[in-house]
Amino acid sequence: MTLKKPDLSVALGPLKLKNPVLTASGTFGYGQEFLDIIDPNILGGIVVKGLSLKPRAGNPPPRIIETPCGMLNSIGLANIGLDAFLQEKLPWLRDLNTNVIVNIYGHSINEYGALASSLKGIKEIAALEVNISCPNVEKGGMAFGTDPDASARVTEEVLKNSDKPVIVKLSPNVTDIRVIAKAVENAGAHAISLINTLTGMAIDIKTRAPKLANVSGGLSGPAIKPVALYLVYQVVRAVNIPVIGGGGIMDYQDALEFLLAGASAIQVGTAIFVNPGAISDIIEGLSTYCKTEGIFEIKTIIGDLKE
Amino acid sequence: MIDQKTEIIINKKIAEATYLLGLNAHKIVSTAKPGQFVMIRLTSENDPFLRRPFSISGILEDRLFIIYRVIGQGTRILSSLQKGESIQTLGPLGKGFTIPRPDQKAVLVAGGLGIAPLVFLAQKIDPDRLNFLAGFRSAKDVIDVRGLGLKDVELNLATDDHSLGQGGAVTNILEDLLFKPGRSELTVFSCGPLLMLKQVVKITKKFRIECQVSLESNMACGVGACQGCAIESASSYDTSSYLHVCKDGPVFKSEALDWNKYDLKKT
Ligand SMILES: Cc1cc2nc3c(=O)[nH]c(=O)nc-3n(C[C@H](O)[C@H](O)[C@H](O)COP(=O)(O)OP(=O)(O)OC[C@H]3O[C@@H](n4cnc5c(N)ncnc54)[C@H](O)[C@@H]3O)c2cc1C
Ligand SMILES: Cc1cc2nc3c(=O)[nH]c(=O)nc-3n(C[C@H](O)[C@H](O)[C@H](O)COP(=O)(O)O)c2cc1C
Ligand code: FES
Repeated sequence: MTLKKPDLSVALGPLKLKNPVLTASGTFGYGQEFLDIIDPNILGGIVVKGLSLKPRAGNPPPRIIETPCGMLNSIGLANIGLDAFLQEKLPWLRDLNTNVIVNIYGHSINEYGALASSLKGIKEIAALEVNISCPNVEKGGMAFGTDPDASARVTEEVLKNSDKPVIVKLSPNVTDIRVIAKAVENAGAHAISLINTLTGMAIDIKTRAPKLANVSGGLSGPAIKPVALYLVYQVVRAVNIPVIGGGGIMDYQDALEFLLAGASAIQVGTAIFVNPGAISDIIEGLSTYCKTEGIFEIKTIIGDLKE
Repeated sequence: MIDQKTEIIINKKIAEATYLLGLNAHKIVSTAKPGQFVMIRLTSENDPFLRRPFSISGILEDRLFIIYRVIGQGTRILSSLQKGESIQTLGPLGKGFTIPRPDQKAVLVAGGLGIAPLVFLAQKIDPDRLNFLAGFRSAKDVIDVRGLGLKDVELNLATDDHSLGQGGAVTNILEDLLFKPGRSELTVFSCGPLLMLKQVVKITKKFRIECQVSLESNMACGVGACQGCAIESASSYDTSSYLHVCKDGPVFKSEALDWNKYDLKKT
């Protein structure tokens, strides 16, 4: 007889995950980079690096600066573009036994639609995550994600061109995130993920120059966790669609905080750079926690916040 | 590539602000090649946050050696760790040097701590076919490589302040050497401060000598996932305009890069 293990499975609307742990876009490449250390199949899902129609070289270096308990990045969505993705990465991703979620980014609403339509019919792509929140690109990106109407229009365009569940990824760099969350919910999004990075900068006092060539970048890592957690808490209470929470998650305790705040799944990002093993540690940690606390199904603790 | 707990077997000062770190890294050493590097996690706390990249300076059975200079918070913490303590080490990472063929002669040009990866390379080259040039600021900064698996290797030294070896830049020694006959069979391998590297590249280009350089860049992941370590490639070499130090390098053929743009000063 096999011993019963705690059930870690969760649902994101139509999407079923074997556990609530996803990798955050841009921090786990295409799952191949860390293969020697992490088997992507243990994950609830992998969100691949942000994809654009055409390849993007990204911003000039330096692109990364360490900050207290975190880092700033100004990668600028450097990626191989749709064609190379389909030819070089998809065959490998197809064979994975986990949900492959493709994070998409466009310069214009039409580009978002074109990307969604190009990924139509590929059954091994489980869902799309629409990035309307990248702080590191001039056009598009966060410009959509800070405006409720534009957010809704991007969402509609992707839905119109897609046969997959659509997750919209929100920016924390707004006055009231609930307004954006409701706008994308009303536009038909199946789920919401948050947070993308917080815009910030660092200055070298010797050269008196900004440390990032791009001047500003996106802050990630444990430094942003309290901000991320509260934004997730707010969004969960504002909408009726599932929410994926993330921002600064380093260990299973952090993951539990997001689940308790109401997130149905979580994303681990920057932690992977510091500790690739964090992914498996978090999955195991959640399982052990459930066992110790007598929780048979992890879904029962989603939103179980005592207020 | 392996992420393993490595026990510190030695962590001793070998020159001004410079330390030799020895780690018990039985898994990493099995595939490590000269020019490759490791990413070390300094603390299980969140600050300092990122891992630190260090070149591999040598391997002795299951021991992996690193030579590092204390320049900031992370390396200061590293220097305070004691024998017997353990740190998490990820490696081996990146592409290393193309080892010279037995019929070639190697000229190694090190500037300061740039000597770190070259020590490991030198261990793989017949001392008769090796000319190891090394520049330091001053005599107190000089790293004695004879204790690092190179007992038959004499460093050809230059110091900025004329306190030891030839006074002035190490690149002057290189240039003098290349003026001599027999240079066509030479390959130059270099690592050091950017200004020195630019000079080395200029000189080797002038003499049409092959040159491999080991570069630095700020890094987060070290494995090609974050795209953070980009540097400008020479347009003739690669159309994507950026190469990644952690994956495409840290060792590059000098002609692969756009030396007018490559600039670490802001970091
Ligand atoms: C491939 C590679 C190999 C290296 N090999 C060696 C070596 O063998 N010996 C040695 O002493 N040093 C080496 N370095 C440089 C070493 O990584 C830095 O000196 C170290 O990260 C400084 O950390 P810190 O906390 O003391 O300094 P801080 O300045 O406080 O560090 C702040 C941040 O900047 C980064 N940083 C600072 N300087 C550098 C640099 N020169 N290169 C990359 N990142 C930097 C740090 O990693 C950290 O994220 C290498 C760098 C690279 C990229
Ligand atoms: C280097 C880097 C690259 C990123 N690239 C993307 C991207 O391409 N698309 C995207 O939607 N988010 C991207 N992000 C944001 C992360 O997916 C995540 O939302 C954010 O970093 C907060 O989570 P964390 O603190 O766990 O990293 C990137 C973050 C980092 C640090
Ligand atoms: S350091 Fe992440 S890609 Fe090179």
